[in-house]
Parts: sequence; structure tokens; C-alpha cells
Amino acid sequence: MSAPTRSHFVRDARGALADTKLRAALLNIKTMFRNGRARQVAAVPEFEELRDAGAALKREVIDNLDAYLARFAAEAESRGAKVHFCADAKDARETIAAICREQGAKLVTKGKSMVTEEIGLNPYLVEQGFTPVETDLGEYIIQLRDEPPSHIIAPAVHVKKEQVAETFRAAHAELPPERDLSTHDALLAEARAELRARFLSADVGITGANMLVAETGQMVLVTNEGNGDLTQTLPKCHVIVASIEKLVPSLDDAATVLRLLGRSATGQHASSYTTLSVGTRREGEVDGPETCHVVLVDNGRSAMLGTPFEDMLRCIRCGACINHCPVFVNVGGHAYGAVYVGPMGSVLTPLLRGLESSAELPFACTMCGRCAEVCPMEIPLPDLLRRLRFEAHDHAYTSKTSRLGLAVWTFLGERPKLMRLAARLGGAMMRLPGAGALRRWPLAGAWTAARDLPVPEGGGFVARANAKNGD
Amino acid sequence: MTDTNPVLAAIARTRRGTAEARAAAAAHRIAQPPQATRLRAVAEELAKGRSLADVFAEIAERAGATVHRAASPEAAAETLRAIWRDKALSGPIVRADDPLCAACDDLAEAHTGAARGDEPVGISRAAAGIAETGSLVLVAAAETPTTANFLPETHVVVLAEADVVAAFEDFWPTLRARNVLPRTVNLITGPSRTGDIELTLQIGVHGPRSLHIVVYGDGR
Ligand code: SF4
Repeated sequence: MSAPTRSHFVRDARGALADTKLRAALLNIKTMFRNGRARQVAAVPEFEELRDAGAALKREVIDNLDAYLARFAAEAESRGAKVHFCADAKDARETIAAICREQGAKLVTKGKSMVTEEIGLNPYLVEQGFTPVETDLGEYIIQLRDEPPSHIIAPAVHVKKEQVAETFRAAHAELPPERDLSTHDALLAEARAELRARFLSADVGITGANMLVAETGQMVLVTNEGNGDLTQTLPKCHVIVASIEKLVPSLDDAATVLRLLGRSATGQHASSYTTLSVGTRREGEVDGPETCHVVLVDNGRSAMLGTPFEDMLRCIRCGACINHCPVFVNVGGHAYGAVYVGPMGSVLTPLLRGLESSAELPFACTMCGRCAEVCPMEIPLPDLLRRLRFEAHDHAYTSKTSRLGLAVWTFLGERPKLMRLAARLGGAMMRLPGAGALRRWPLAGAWTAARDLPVPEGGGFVARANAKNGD
Repeated sequence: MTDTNPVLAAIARTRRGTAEARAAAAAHRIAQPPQATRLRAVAEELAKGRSLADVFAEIAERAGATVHRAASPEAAAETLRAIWRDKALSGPIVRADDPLCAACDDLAEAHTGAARGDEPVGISRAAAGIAETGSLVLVAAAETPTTANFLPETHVVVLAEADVVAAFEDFWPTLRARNVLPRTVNLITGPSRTGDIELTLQIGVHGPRSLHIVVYGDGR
């Protein structure tokens, strides 16, 4: 599945809202992820201090990003890795394909990696004659279904178990057709057996990285399944693909991020597997890769530096903002038409892919502020979304009606007398007998389509304030 | 590298100060990270008179591991054999090249070195335990290969009480002190799990389905 290139949020959200299966699947997010995080955070009274420390260490990295990257690269190369800096998606795809070619690879196993989704790696590898196999269970399911992920942590959260069974039946045609796939256990056992064979025969293993440690050149990979470890340990070549903002200064900083990550992401105090690895197997070691490449991907990130959107580079992809977003939990990930979804995605997608193809995303938000409250990196997501709204408006990417509405509002706002007159007239009209709650409001049709505007009681704000001041 | 590397050059153009000043700032920050953010909960448990091994055991069990306590290395060997019997395990075994991990060698075919993938049981030695998270620290070496941690369905790990530390930051110095950084350091917290089908927690997807930890004292 190639990365989606354009968002049609309004259109796709409408479809998603009508999909009862999808909405049932999304309910799990509230019970599992949200409650899990709440329990973990309640158990750590100093969680706010941790957030401060996490945000501070990422600010430090961003301030001196070139220096940290250079140190990381030097450390990793001294331990047998080859580091590649790639300016854009094409550059990264070609670099990775060249490594696979050099290895004479056929089968390529992959651990879950959002950046490889971002750069459209899988379709490119297929085109180049390789067979990439996703090994994270969720990624495997959506790869078989030829769908993009719908959540950065739980990529197949939109799929019900009956649909997984159908998908497995179609994909694993060599197995007896009458086998029972009605339980979670049966599905798990089948995926385990199918993928075990791939792990053992892969020529190259590609993983992402949750962090890159500048101090040691190590990458830190956090998973629950163990697929990332089999992917990076069994093949003779390990390729790490990571975006340039994954740096942390030291091992101590990695510990701080680990304390935030599992709790924020899945409500775990720690994920099952946290792996620090660097380079090739050392002399005397009996397993691990003989070749190791680190592919560092910029693809639009350096352009965010020095802009108000620099804050977004602190993101550790925990998904907490997504799980707590009232819009996301109702429409799911596919409505965003992008690799990154929910609040973090609505900020990142316009920045990485361009606002023109993503102009509806910053508006897919109620400005409730929950995302910023739960973000372990204290990223002011609503502020960034608001800024993108301004930019979408300035570039005329928004609808004519909404721009006309805002123009009228601005015109009135800059003329207090006229505004007061308009408010009085408007209020009087709304109180006309028979008007009732307003079902339609000129120039705000999208808003009133789903809500009734209540009829105001008494005078407007200015009139009341003046009366109170004895004016 | 800075001059010839377009990514680093693009970053440098947006950053304050000189490249030298940034390099110096980063080097200083790496050498002297700020005060650790260790969780107070561990210290509070210790203040109640519990040992690091007690805290480790409780939190590891919360993550789904089964913890067995033994008073001495000899008792640990007995515990390994008891686990073998109680869980009705069968070989072959891939095990660490360590005398304690040989405790079941007469019960099934056992070998050291890398796992092949056909061994239902792996017996490993942990370099350390992290009390804060109940995590085992397994370090790649000729004696303790990484594949043994992931391929077997049942993973049994021996850990000396003396090797349990409070937090990640207490293990890093051991790592930094090595001449050669090992290729892989695994922090393992409970068995393999997934929530990828309907966010329903399931144990044992690609890695071990069960994790047994034998924490042993020095017998004194
Ligand atoms: S923006 Fe914050 S909450 Fe959202 S994924 Fe990134 S770090 Fe997590």
C-alpha cells in the first residue's frame, strides 16, 4: 500500500461515521488505551516532572540537532554501522533498495516503522523485485489487506477479528480451508507459524527506531511482540530507518523517554521488549547481523526547524493524542487520508506533504485541548493546528463560504458600532415568534448542520456589560 | 562531515550559534546529563524495608512473568529442575554457557551457542534486573546469544539478587565501563504480547509465550 497523497477528510469522515463495524472497533481505544494510560499516570505522582524533563531533553536535541546527529553517526560507525543521511523519501527508498540489492536479498522482513510508511518503502521494494513482509501482527494484517495503517501504535485497530480470519483464509491458501479461525488464539497461532518461517529465511531485516542515542550510537527499539528483535537479529543484514528527530543525548535521557513512552502509548509501565543495539555482531558473538546500516531520513523535518512548528519535532509517536482525540475515536484513521493520523497527524501531514493536499486536516479538531494535556512531550498541538488554519485561510485552501463568513465577521469586528447594531438586530430576529432554535445560520452551514444554535436570552454581551457598569 | 552533508548543512542554517559551539554544548550535555528522573516509588518501597529483589519480583509478575525465588545457587538449580517438571517441558534446550544454566542438561538435549529455532526451551542468564520496571537485562555475548531470548516458546532466566539495581541509570555505568559495547542489550519485561487484534491482550505472538525468572541469593 503506498502512502496516501491527498486528504478528503470531510468526505471520508462521513463514510466512517456511517460504518458501524468501524465504530465498534474504535470503542476499544477508549477502554484499553485511555483507561490504561490513566491508571499508569495515577500511579506515578511525579508524571508532570517527567513530562517537563522529556520536553526539555528534546528541546536540547533540537537546538543542537546537527551536533547530536554528527556524534551519533560517528559513534554508530565506530561500532560497525554505516550511516546514510537522506534528504527526502526518494533518496531514502533508493538507499534502502541499493542495500538490499548489495545483499542479494529476496525476502525482507520488516518491524513496524511509521517512517517507512511515510516514505512509501514497501511498494518501492516490490517494484524493485524484493518481497517485503511486515512482521508486527497489526502491520501484517493490513499488508495482507492492502490497507494503510489507521493508527500509529495499533495499525489494524479498525479491523474486527472476523475480518482478520477472512484475510488469513485468503492469504494462507496452503492451509486446510475448514480450519477454525473463530478465536483470537487461533488467529495468533496461525500468524506466529506463518511469520516464524519468514523470520528464519529473510536476507535483510528492516526496523524503525524509537530513539537514537548520540552518546553510544545505539538505537532503541520498543516492541511488545518480539518481532522487532527477530527482524534485527536473524538476517545477516539489519537496516535501521529513522527520522532525524529521534535523537536523545545520552542513555540517561533514553531512560526518561522510556518512562513516558509505554505509559502514554499503551498504558504499560514498560513494553515487553526494549532493545538497545548498534552495529554488527562483535568478535566472539554468535548471532546478530554481519552488516548494519542506519538510514536517517529528513524528508521535510529540517524545514520545520526555526519555524513555529519546530515543537512538533519533539514527538515520540506515542499515540496518546490520537487515543484522546474525540474526532479520531469517532472516525478512525483512514478518514485522515495520511500515514500520521489524529492531532499529531493533522499537524505533521501538512508540514511533510504540503498544506494544499491536507488543508482539511487542521480543521478536523474541536479545539478541546485534550491532546496537549496528555502529550508526554508537551507539544502545543491545538496552537499548531490553529496556526495551520490561519495558513490554510491565507492560502485560500479553505472553502469560499467559510472565508466569506470570516470576512463579514472581521468587517464587523473592526467596526464596534456596526457590530452592536448587527448583534441587536440578530438577537431580535432570533426571538421572533416561531423562530425557535436556529437550524440554519448563514455562512455557518457546516456548523449548524449538526447543531442547533440556541436562541439568546436578553441583550448581547456588550449591552449586559454596559448595564452592569451603570453605563 | 558537516560541510559535505546536505542534511546537516540544512539543519545548521537554521540553528543559533556556531557549529563549534553546538558541538561543544552537545558534548557537554552528553557527558553530564541532568539529574535522573528516577521514579520515587522504588525508593519508597525500599524505605519500607523491602529489598530490590522483592520490588523487582513484584513488578516483573505484574508484567506477566513468573518469578521463583531461591536462597542460593544450588537452590536455583533445583528450582530450574522443578520448573521443568511442573511445566512438563521438553527439549531440546538452547542455554547460556553458564554452569547454573546447565541444571537441566541431563533432562533433555541441550546446546549452547545461537538458537536454531527448533528449541522449545531457552535458559539464559541475566546481566542485571531493573527493579523499577521488573525488566531483565540480557546482554549479547558468546555465552549469552540474543536468539535464545526470542526463539524458544518458554524462556527461563536466572538472575542473581546481587545483580538487581533500582533503575535503568544504575545499569548504564556497567555498560559504559565495557571496552566493547555489545551489539545487543535486551531489556525484557514479561512474555511476548500483542493487542493488535481488537486491542485484546494476547500472550506469546512472536517471542516466548512464558517467561520464568529464577532470582537467587548467595545462600548466606
Ligand atoms: S504529539 Fe505528543 S501525544 Fe501525540 S504522538 Fe506525539 S508525543 Fe505522543
